[in-house]
Amino acid sequence: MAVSERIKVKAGQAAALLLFLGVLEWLVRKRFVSVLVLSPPSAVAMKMLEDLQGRELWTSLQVTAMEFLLAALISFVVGSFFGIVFFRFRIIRSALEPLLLAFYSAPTILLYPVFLTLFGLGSPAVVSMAVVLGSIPIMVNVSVGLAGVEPIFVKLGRSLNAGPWLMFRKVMLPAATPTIFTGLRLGFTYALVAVIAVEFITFSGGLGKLVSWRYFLFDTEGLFSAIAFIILIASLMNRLLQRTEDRIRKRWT
Amino acid sequence: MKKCWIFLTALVGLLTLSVPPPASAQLRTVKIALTSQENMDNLPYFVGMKAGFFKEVGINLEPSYFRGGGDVVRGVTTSATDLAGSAAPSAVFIAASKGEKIKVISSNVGQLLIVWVVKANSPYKSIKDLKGKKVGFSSPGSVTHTTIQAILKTEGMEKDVEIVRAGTPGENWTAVSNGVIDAGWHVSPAVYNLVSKGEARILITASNYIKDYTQSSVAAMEEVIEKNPDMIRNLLKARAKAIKFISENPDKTMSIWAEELKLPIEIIRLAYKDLPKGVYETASPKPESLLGAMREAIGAGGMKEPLDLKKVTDFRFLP
Amino acid sequence: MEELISVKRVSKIFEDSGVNTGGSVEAVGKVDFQVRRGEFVSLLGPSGCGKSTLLDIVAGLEPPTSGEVLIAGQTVKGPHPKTAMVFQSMSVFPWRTALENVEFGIELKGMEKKARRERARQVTQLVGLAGFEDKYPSQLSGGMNQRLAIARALALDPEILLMDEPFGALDEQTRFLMGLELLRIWEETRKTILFVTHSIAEAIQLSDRVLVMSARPSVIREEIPILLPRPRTIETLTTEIATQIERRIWDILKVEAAKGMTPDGR
Repeated sequence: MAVSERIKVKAGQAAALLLFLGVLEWLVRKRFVSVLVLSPPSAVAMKMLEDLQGRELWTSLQVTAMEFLLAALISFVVGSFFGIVFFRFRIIRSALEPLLLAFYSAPTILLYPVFLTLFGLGSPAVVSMAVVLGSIPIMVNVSVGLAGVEPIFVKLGRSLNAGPWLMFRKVMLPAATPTIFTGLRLGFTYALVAVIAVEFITFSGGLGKLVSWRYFLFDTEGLFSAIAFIILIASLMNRLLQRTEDRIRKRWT
Repeated sequence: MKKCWIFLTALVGLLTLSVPPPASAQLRTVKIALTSQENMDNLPYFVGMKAGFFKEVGINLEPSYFRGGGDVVRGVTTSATDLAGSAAPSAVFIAASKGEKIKVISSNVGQLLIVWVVKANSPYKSIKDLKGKKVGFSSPGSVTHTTIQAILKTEGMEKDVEIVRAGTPGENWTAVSNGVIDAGWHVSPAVYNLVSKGEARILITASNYIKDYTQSSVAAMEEVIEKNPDMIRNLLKARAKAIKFISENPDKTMSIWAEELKLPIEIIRLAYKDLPKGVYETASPKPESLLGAMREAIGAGGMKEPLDLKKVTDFRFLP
Repeated sequence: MEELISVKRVSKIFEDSGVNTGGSVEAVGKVDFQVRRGEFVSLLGPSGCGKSTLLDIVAGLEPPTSGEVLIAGQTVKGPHPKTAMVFQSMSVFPWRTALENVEFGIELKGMEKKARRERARQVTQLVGLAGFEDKYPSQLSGGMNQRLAIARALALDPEILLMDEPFGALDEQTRFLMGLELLRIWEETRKTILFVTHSIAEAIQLSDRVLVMSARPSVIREEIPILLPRPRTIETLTTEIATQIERRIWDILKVEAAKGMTPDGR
């Protein structure tokens, strides 16, 4: 797209957003919508500034961030391990994969009582649920990525008498990187969503709890302020990961 | 000739259909927001609907059940319902403090009917045994929240017990059975289901600590009140009739209750036995009770300063 | 001139893999031939005739069902260090730069970094890609990438190059030019080359000898020496002799190619 076109697109997006916010502002100010349900965007914006300067948001963010980073790390390890196992032992893959995909497509988050029983209320339950959801796309993509390596690369490695470790490190893994990275992006995104969702449901802490708390206390500006921050953080992370993925794909093709 | 008859029959039929039905068959649908269905706060409305008291005054009552006190109030302020039948006063006041023109128009339940239960085989014999343990409440700012805080304070235990948000009675009991919390809140009559099965034991009865507490009230938006004074008056009258019925006809009340909640009659009997006399009120809530609710709302962080009671109540329509 | 490659009564039968062949496939019938040091020999045959399989057997990537392959007198049991292979399809790693790709073979053999870099540069220059060392394969043309594949093989300094239709994916003009490039490299490095192709023109352009193969199961129908002077230019390749050779080969191949057009290859 030409530069002038892109500017037009961005301007159009900004205009649409402003129009939408303007309508919301009008609706609430004129009391067409209850102030317990919606807050005027101007008030939300002010509350967001207030939150940035206060402590509540930052402490909540810290809790969520730590839970997410832990969940992401464990998802990566668990996902990679099982991904490689699935790749090497096709029987295990055939046996377990349908089961895992069932978990993935159903609203697994509703199984949170199971995790509460196992880990009690608090971060461990949050992290474990997030790991279940986050590791599955990684698992699948690692095994698919490795299986999908161009046969010619494998043949090349064989013609050079490459041992299994070198083959894995210098041929299979680099070749599978684009697919694996997509798995990471999906896995981490789901992990973040799961962390906040479980925090919300179980009221254990972090940004999810903040949202829940403010909802119950009718603090509508606070509610939307917290939601806005969550959306910002989630989209920022997704964008960063997507950009990196695009760059990887560009290089690989 | 035949065509003539068909035409005449059709004409007569049309005329009959266009005649308006008799006035008594014309009911006005009134939507009422109530707390979760198993809550006994809702009994007057079940009885009133079943015994036909609302229909007598031309009201077809349509209940909507909400999970928490806050959502009951939201049901009213968003005009999803016309009024609320069992709204916690503190929730009403928080809404009013945000500028919503909602008012308490009558008391509903004038005692605290919530209890806290533990596993029947647990070692806890009295509240003192909960030192260092976890106790559940429904959601922040709710009656269960402020009540447990008040009870613990009375016992001087507010620093020794961890209170945990655990949701509905059902969710609280799941948490207790799984050992996630040690005591969870519950409510009559459903709690007697657990008690009679020998699974749960009531450890704390809120009304032992706090008397004269308006657990829930009837509330409506100012606009609805202004536009429908007769409807409001009639509704409260029918409700009063239902309350009279409850105290005078225990057997019939119990069967209505059992049917509505799909619980066995034995359980209902236990619950009914424990029902304090005069728990359902037709009068206005006591001012101390309302001020107490306001203090709770402030304490929970829902509002900054008390409101003028006159501005958030409207007791003109009490029977 | 010694026999560097000796193929003795090699045959290959692929057992029923249960997919859709409905039985085992006899890819290679009994094949015998030799390649002397410094020769450029082509295996020419219709598509699917098993010539690639035969090359894989010489490369040690496939075990023969019967017979054996000797390289410098040693029986081939796996990829032999005296050989290096160049493949048809894009075998260059998109995630490595041109130079890093050329290094790949010697990297696996454990050559130390500095020496590796030096050797890789030399070979990259040899194939005419000096200046492109830091480019990625996505930035290079198909022909250039194939030259990288050749450079990678040459970096190993093998005595024998086994080339499986390396220019098959290129257009005709590029193919011809790449052929000229290959001959230039061959004359400079004096390697022994066993070259698989289905193009008669290419075989004539490049080889000392052409082994014309039959349809499946492959055997060598005829061995045709290409008695054309080197260097092979457009002029030498369009002479009367060249045309005769071409016609001769085509007559043999015609029959075999036709066989490939019926389902059961008979």
